[in-house]
Amino acid sequence: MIDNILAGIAVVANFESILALAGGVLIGVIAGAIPGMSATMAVALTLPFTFSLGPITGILLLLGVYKGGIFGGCIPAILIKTPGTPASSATVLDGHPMAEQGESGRALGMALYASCTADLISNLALILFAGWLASFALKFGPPEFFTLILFSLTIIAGVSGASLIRGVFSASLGLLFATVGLDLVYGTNRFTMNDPNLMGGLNFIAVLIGLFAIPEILNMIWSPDKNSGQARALSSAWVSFAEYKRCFRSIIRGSFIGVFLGSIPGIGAAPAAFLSYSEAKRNSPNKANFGKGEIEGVAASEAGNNGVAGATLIPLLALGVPGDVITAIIIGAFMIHGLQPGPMMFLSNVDIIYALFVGLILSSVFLFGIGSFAIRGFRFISKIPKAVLLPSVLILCIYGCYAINNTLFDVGVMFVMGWLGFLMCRASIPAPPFLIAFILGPLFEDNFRQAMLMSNGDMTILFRSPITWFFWAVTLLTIFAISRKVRELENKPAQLAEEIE
Amino acid sequence: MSNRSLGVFCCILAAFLWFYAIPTWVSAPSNVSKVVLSPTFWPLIISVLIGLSGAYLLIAEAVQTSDDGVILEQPDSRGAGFARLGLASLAMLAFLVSVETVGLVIGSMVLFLVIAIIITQAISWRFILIAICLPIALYGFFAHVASVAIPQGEWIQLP
Repeated sequence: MIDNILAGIAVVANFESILALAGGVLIGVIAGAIPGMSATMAVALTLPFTFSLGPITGILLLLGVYKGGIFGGCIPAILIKTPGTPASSATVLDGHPMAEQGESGRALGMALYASCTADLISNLALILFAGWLASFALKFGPPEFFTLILFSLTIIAGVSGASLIRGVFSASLGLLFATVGLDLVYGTNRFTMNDPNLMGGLNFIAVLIGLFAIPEILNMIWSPDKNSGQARALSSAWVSFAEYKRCFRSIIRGSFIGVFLGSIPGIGAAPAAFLSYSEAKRNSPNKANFGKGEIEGVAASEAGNNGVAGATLIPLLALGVPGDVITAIIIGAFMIHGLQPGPMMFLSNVDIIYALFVGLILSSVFLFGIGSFAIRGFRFISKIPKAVLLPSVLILCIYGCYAINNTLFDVGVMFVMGWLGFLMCRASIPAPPFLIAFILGPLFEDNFRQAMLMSNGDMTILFRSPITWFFWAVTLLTIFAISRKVRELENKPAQLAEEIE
Repeated sequence: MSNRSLGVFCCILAAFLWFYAIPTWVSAPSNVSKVVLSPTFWPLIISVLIGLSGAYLLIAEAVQTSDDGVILEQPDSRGAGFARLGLASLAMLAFLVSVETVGLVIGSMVLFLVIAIIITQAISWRFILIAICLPIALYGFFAHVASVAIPQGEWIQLP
């Protein structure tokens, strides 16, 4: 392992990689700090800029954007009560009351310290567990991968928002769009309308940029926004070491909650932040002050959401399945550079894996430095009007999409997907399940059909080993848990009505 | 969109896929030995999934009064909102059609201005400045750093 780490350091220790990582963190913090942008959109828009970079440099740039974006969301959450990313929603609870009391500097300082601590713990967890999980995954064949991806598709429950069934419909559309192109086994046409542009399938990046960036612009055109909030001035008071020490237990607890939830595909950063916050509140001697401007609340929620960032890469690197929507986009960067994340990468490209580990550790350091500057510069960032920002995003999308294959067809696909994403948004159909299914769909079908070819159509091959049994069991358990949750949510209005009566 | 409308839409989509789209647009060789290996198998499973989602939504609508649809923000005037969307779609279509003639850089400049004007219903020097600078900067990066052949069009040849 030491040899691998040294090899990783050798790969990362160059000006280009360091600059890409630092630049990525900066872009992420700025994007996360702009209400209306999100870490997902920032990663999607940065992806085309990695085409001309080397694999390590490009992926480090995206990881920097990811890490910076998750932290950056806390800045508007504290100063203008508008979370820059959904993951920062819990930070609003105590962060904004602190800002109203003239303690925004302390709140932002604690958010930064908690974020960096949690980020470091999350990265260490990734380094410790990803290799172990990958060595286990080397025993997988098509039936095992089929059951693993089936389990991974339960991610959809975590990203479906208020309605699971609408998430299932969205995922079905994603699976349907993923079938466009030549058949994997027979090479016959599927929904190509004999257009050669469609024979390779819909371009993944055009689909994701279309789904995540264009609907924001169309929503703005449909209903031009008013100002979202009044920014609070940044106070000069900064967080002290004694305060950091007092909150340290909550930060560590929140970091582990983030790591645990982040390593399970589909949970995401927002639930981790809320769980960490509620645990901190339950265990704190100042629990009565939570929600009124308690600094420990800010520390816990930021530790929870940043603890997820490194851990979501565990299933990505070890198993080749995304932990959340952003890592689903990062898979695209691996593919563009001819890399397939998964257990085989630990054998064939171990230097790249360890270079990423080293880069991730460095990103925690950059996050600390760049985050401190970003906090002070937020006033300038927040003043960018959406009428300038969103048309600029559109032009970025067009260039980025064109650059994938040097074809305007992809730009057309992006526009079509953008309108589809907008209509889905208006119809309250969540877009993330579409993207997850679009990515996992071909893998799911491919492994299923390979398993069927191996067994000559005998379905019992899907239950051939303890690994497949394990994944069937966890899938069924997850479905059971989801259906229980759905039933609880359905019963809530009735219970409320009874209580009112 | 209410559960009922979405449920009906899902059922219609599933029926369209099962009875028309898959038989017409998915080619399957006649000598496929097992149905699970056929190129049509997976799309048919997906159409069933869509149909089941639709049926669930319709049943949910019938047995409960609450709706999963979230009420999103509406423009002050729906007519104006639709007009803006119509203009934006026309601008995007015109961009796609004309880009080979006018080039990606000029096309992007015009599209930026049109979208900014649609949003703000005003024009300012700031928009014009960004509309000129941003596409040129992106052209510089993609053409000279990433070595992407950006379409120049027939009117202006950038270095």
